[in-house]
Amino acid sequence: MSQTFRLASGGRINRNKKLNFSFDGKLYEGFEGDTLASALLANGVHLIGRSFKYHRPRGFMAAGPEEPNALMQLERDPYTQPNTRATLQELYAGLDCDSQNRWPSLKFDVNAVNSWVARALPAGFYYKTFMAPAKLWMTYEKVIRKAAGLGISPKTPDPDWYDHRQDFPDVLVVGGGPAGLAAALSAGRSGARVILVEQSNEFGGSLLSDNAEIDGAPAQQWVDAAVAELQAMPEVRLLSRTSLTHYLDYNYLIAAQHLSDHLGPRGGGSGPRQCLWKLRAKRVVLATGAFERPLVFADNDRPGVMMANAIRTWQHRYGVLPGRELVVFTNNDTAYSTAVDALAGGAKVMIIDCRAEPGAVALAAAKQAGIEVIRNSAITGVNYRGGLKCVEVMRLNSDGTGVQGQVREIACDLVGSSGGWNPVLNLHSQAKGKLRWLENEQTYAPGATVNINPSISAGACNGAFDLLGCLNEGFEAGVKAALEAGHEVVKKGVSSASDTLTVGDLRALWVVPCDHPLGQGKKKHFHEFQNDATAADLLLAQREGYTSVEHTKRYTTTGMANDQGKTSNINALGVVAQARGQGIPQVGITTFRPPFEPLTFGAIVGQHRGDLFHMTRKTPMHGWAEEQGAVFEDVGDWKRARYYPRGDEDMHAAVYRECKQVRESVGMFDGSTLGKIDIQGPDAAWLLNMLYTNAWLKLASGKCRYGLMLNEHGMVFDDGVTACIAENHYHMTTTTGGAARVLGWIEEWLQTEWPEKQVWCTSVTEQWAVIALNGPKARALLAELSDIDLDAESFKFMDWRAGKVAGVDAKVYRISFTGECAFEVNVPARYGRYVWEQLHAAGQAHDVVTYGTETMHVLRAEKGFIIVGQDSDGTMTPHDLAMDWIVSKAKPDFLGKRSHLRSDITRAGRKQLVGLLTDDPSFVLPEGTHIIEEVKPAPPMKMLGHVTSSYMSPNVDGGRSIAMACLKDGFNRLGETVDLVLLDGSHVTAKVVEPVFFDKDGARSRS
Amino acid sequence: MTEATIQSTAATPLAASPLAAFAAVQGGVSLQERPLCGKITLRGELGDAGFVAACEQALGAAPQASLAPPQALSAGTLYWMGPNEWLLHCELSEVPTLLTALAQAAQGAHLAAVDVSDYYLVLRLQGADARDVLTRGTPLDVHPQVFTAGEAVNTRFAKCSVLLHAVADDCFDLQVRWSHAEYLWQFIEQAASQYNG
Repeated sequence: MSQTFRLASGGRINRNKKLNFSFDGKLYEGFEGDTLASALLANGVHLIGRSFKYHRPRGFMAAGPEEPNALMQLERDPYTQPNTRATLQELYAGLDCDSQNRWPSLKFDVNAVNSWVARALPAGFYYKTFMAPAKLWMTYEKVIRKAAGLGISPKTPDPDWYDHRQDFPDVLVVGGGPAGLAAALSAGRSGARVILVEQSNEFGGSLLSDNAEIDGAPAQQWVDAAVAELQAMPEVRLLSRTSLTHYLDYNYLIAAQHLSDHLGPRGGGSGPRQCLWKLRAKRVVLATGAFERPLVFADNDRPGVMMANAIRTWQHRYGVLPGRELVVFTNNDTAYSTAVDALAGGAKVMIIDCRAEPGAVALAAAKQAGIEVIRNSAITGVNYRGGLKCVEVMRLNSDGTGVQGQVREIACDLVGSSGGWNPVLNLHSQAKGKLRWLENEQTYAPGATVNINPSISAGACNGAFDLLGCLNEGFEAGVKAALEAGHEVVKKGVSSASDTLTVGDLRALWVVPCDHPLGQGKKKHFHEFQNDATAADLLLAQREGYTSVEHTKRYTTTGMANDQGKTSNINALGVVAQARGQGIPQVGITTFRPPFEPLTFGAIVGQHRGDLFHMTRKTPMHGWAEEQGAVFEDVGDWKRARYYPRGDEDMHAAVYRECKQVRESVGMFDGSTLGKIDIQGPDAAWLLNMLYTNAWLKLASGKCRYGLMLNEHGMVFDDGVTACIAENHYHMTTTTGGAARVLGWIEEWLQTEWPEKQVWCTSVTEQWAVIALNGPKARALLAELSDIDLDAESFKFMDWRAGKVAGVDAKVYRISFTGECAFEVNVPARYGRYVWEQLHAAGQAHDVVTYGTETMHVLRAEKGFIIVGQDSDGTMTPHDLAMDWIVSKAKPDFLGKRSHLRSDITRAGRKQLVGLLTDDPSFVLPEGTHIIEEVKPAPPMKMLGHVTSSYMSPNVDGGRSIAMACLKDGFNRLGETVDLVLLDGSHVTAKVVEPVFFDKDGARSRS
Repeated sequence: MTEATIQSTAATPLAASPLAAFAAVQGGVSLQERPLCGKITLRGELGDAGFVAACEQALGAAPQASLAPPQALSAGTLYWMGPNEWLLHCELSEVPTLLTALAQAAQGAHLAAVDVSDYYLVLRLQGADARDVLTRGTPLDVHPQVFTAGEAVNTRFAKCSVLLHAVADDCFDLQVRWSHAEYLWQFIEQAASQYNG
């Protein structure tokens, strides 16, 4: 029979809509409105997982986000999600989940032997046991992970997508219970922009688990009216199913909205599964409520033992009473409500109270209901054999440190425990707020906030545990927050609310004694359920010297991981304080860290995945190259055509062909990605003269010049050709990767050091598509489509001209990175593809070849032209690169000049750029290969330098390998033979030469 | 070349856009590429009388001194980009004329006018939920009381720099680099999909 623990009536569930679901392969039935937890309990399922370390059977502890045990593996790949809290997961039709941390099955778990040998698994066990040998840790770690893991990560890509969005509320209210609703109402009535975030699917908070009244009517009516009023306010946004995870500085908060998790896989259609809200709030109202504190008694982790108030939630919100015979074990008055309600729901109920004198109102309520109250007593054992059977009860001694008298066994299948209440401080604490100790409640409440994170705590999270107090604090917080955000408020509250039982005179028993001393015998007192840590572990940590509360936390794993101490923190402090004979405030408190609720990685990533992870920059001619089957490489964010294979050519074959053909006829190259900066103003030439090492003051209009840029250390950091467009007007080119860096560098100098200089710099990188024509037939090809006079005498190497190319206004620069006669055709980006196609068509008569970056690299290496960042590495001066010729001796100053006087730069024996020719001309040295002083059988060997560029050249000596290298004292080694060691340990020899392998006098580029 | 390409770039059928392959997004939130317009980056100091006079002569007014809704000038729309930088949106065909006029009017004043017409594209996002779509990518507060119709700012959208112009309450132009346009388009298209059913 299904749902045997479902009450005949009540609960905010839709009994007309049955939902089937599966847990550990078994089918169950629940109702719409259930959580996975309430549906399982309705079916009498208490055993839902095994504990982290000892693999003890575990059941539900709580009904909300503080639940430490009920973490489920939800669904299957690709939708599987580990560590899903069953108490937060809404039920949907077909939900399929498994328990975690058990093998082969939940009922029979091999690792449960850990529990039998628990004495051998004390706190700090891993630190003590798996210390040595260190190299075996990777092996240990795998085994431990498997044994102690919390669920399994998905193995396949997430088919869902996730959204991010920003908002800037005047007032952000966290928590949709009575205090939060009241705060949102009063702030919203002012016209302020309000966002109310509620973790659950419904607003109402504790009122959903209650039978309270407000203004003389059931509280639900007030909740419904409040939600309706808020929904009607245009500036108020209600976010349910939304977890506030982070409270960061300057009131920046992050919340994860679960858009379709409650509908299951594919339930959200094509929409996002979750949305991560990034909220910058003028004021924050924290109305996060309070969590009940478990009592730390012997075997308090047995399935069927749960928080007293959770039972009320199951009963009132979900219409489930998860037992027939309930024992309420408490040290305060609030749990009496659970007892009275459960009795009314049909259960047999008994109360065990630690105190000799329970509160009069609570006691009267129990008496009136006819519930037996056993005072001054404690549960000293829990009998669990495939289910909760009974509890052992003994009388407490006078100071609560021990028990005495006869053991009384009380049959039961459900225990509700209450050790008091803890305000939910996590967010206040994340925001660096101080705490204040509440002596009566034996817990912390929020204290002062820090200025940068203005927030107001209201309601139970502020220590106001009665309903009217909660409502009043909420209204006031909303008024204050709206006022501080600049909105006038009309104050309006409620006049009455039903009395609720508060803790009364609580008796703090941080460790509830049993018939054995703590840590002896088989019974365990858990204070930390998720990480399986006990009060005995805390005491061990004290004995072993981990007395700082932060050390205690880490040594025992208290309050760590996704639980973040929601149920364990205060109890742990209490146990430690008691052991030391101190008060809790003297012990100190650990930090609550974000996230308050676990976040999926998908929510963090948002839309930034796949094609949207980062922009891919494409040139205007990209589409054409793609259609031709070009192979692309990533250069910064750009995709650049690397080579254009024909047929089944591999890269080497294609590049060999392209290299040869460029030097024989003409090649076309897409140079659009080069950085381009327009420089204008009376001080433009002065600026260039400072930026580059060579002389720039006399460059005439129509002329171009190559320049080398140094950083302040005198090291080469960019190069390129700059053209004089007109008087006081220049067009600078930079390397592709250096475009942004160079403009930033120039702007920094202009704005910080030379603000009086009159010069403006504007990036024009993407304005221009650049088509480089290189090769002996470049002139003939261009002549077919251009009206520019291309005669070698009038349009010389390093000149530029304006004119038409294929009918489009163009600037043509006679500059060359290949050493060939070359023309770089610049046209506005929108015409790039058109002009390229026209040139390519006209080029057919000239045996044109398109070539990519790989061929460009080979051709420039044949000429010994450097690539900054490949042949130089930020430690090389122009001299090191054999480029003394470009450093002016006459200029009074340029950036980096002064550093060239440093002794380290003038010393002998620096690494210098040379060419290498391997003795075996067919062998291409791998780039990065080390040049060594002397070959030895094994490392270490003294290193003299490394290969920076290396290619097979079809054009040098009819085809041979060439390389460039940084070599210690390289210029003095010209003509020598050096040894190079390869990765496989073998070595090769090469001759040191000048790094110009082709057309040494440069006649071709001037032709 | 497709019909869309010719429309999107207007000036000549030879011209191409990186967004030519993308069909306009239709629905509650629409996304389309604007016809390519002329763009001129203008640099100068407002304290320089020569610069101001040149602008008045060539553009019809002095550039404004701080961030404010863009100026509607006879030559086009002038956006404030920084303390000494403005961007003029104008007819594409007018760019050479305006550059010449500015150069002549400058008469030796320190002024830079640079053609960046092809550097950027403009996407138009329109619809009742357009502001909601914007919240997916920009850290700017786009609440209608904060970012009002007529205003324009430089901000970020996803990983792009954009010039965001609230053309009307529910209509926004996003100017983006040519090479970032495809990424921006796809990002907005996905964000808008939840409003377009």
